Amino acid sequence: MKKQGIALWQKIFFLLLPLTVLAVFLATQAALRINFRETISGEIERSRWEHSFFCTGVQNKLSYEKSASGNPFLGKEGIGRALVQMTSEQTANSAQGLAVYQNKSCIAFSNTPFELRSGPLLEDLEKKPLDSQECRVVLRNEKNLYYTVSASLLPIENESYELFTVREITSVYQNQARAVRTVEVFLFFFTLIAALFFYFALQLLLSPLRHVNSGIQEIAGGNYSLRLSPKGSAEFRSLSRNINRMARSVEENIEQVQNLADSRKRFIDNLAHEMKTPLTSILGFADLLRVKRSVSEKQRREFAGAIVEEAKRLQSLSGKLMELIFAESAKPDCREIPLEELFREISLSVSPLLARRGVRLLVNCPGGSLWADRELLKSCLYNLIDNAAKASKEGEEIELSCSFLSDYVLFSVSDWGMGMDEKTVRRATEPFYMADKSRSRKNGGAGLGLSLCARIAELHGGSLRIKSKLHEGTTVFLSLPKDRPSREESESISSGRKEASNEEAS
Amino acid sequence: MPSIFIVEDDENIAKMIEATLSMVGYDCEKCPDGKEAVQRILEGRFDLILLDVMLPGLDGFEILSKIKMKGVPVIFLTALQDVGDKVKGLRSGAEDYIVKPFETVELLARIEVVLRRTGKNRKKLSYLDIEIDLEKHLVTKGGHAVALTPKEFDVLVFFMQNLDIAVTRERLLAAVWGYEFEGESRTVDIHVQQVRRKLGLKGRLVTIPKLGYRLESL
Repeated sequence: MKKQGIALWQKIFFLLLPLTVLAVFLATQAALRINFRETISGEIERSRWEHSFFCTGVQNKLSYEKSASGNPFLGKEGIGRALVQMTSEQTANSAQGLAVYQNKSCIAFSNTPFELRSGPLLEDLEKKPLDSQECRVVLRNEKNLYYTVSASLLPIENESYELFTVREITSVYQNQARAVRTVEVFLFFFTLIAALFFYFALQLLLSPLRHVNSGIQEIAGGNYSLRLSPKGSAEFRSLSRNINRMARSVEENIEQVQNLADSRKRFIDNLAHEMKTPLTSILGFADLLRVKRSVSEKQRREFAGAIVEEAKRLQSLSGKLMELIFAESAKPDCREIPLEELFREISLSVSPLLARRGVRLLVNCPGGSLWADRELLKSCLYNLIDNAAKASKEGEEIELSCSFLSDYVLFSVSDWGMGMDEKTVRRATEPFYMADKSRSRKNGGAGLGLSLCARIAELHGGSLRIKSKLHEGTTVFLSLPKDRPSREESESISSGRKEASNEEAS
Repeated sequence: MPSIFIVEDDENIAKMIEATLSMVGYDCEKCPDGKEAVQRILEGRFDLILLDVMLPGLDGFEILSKIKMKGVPVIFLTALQDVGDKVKGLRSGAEDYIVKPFETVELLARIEVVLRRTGKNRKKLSYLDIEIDLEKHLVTKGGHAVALTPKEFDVLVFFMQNLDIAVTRERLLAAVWGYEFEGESRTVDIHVQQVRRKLGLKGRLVTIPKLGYRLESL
């Protein structure tokens, strides 16, 4: 992850942080602005209110003057004097500035920081003259100080006067500037805290990803038995579970391949051993005959006899191997075989073998027929009878019988010879397994007969079962399915055979 | 003569080895079973053991580990050509190993090498009036010393160790010059002729057509 540029947490971090900071910035700015606008409009209202207070004050003062002098008309000069006096009185105790104009000229003013009838207010008045009830307020900036300037008409004795008041509101702007600075500082610290928060939150949230990642690395490194513990949020838990599932199937496959390779190696090792043992004798004895200066007649017979014996062993091994290879690769060619015919043929082919050993074969044939590959089935039964004959002593009997069960045809080959112990029965169908090597070899056995029979049974979708007791005899049961296998079935059998052969690799 | 113990479960191979070894005069005993072999090795006095690796009961490696303290040199007989097995065999204390199938003379040569290394072989060889002192590297004929080059000496020794056995040029080349020697078999012929001439072995050290040479006893 680190090698591939920007990490996920960094992406999320750099996406989320500016967004958050921007949102907070905009919100505070909006709040500040609204607050400022409200403050300003409050100030304007206050100016307006104070302005009207002045207006009323002026009117009251004039009335008072009139009643004091007893003259209902003060006249232009009298009004002017009263106004000048009033302005100075009114502004004596306040921060307000006040000015009265008539016909654009100033009659009286007090406490004004600048010419009031000027600037933006004047422009505004020229655009739209005041009407009698109106009080107009504008904001004005003069030398970095902020003011509200209010104006209204003041009718006195049929004359129109203009009353201006001014009020400084710089403190409002200063407060606003302070608030902006405070918000900036707040935003700075907020950014820092948010960055820290996001960093740790992301590390915490994404830590299951690292856990999963390191797990995958270990699995990829060959530790297929590793399982991840589901941690973190639902996505990571399901990810862990799926990775576990993947690792399990990889492990199972590896195990299968390993088993296959192991049994292949075992087979090759055994084959090498079985081939080299007779070869060693053949080569050794032949070499002795070649290099020895004088060979006695007894020795010559002994050496040559051993050579022939061992060569026969090799011949039998190669024959059995060919059969096994054929059984591995051939698809059983199933046809309907009448049992009587089959048994007759088998009896005929085993008769020389039985005659040589002085063993008698009892055949128990119920009649009927079955579906099977004729040659493979004959080879299987021949091997079983051959084994039984080898286990029997001269004069003993072997029985070949067959019975029809509900789904299966059950062949059995029984002898009352030496029998086998449990361990031998278990391993009997392993290729090259021989209970008694020296005896098997004397009989020309290579340890392949029963594994060939088991393979033939498997090919037909049947099975081979051995029942034996030491010194009491052995019965081998060969069960084959009774019905003609349908097309799909025979295909599934052949594919099943492939799997089975993978498992046993024999 | 040195006595050799053969542990081999295949009857014919054991018989063949026995016939080969007794041809040059070694005393032999055979045993087909691992457990019995351990017993007999511990009780007996053998100069060399030929040990099959694949045995019923105990395998060759197990036998070797059980009889190590006896200090008898062991040569493994194996059908496995795996280098891994070779290393395992030699590391567990075997002197050598020989892969089945093997030639008669090769087996004898390996045995000779191991016996020489462990000092249990014959110190002196004699044939007619020729005597060889292997320790002193000395050849005498009728009491008089005969001057031989080192290779001629080795050739003579090899023939006397394999008396009455036909030796191929390749085998002689391998035994005297080593397996890596890529000389011609003419080199062998020249040395054999020299040995024959210097020791007056005409009619005794005979050429066998299409095979090699043989030093024949009377």
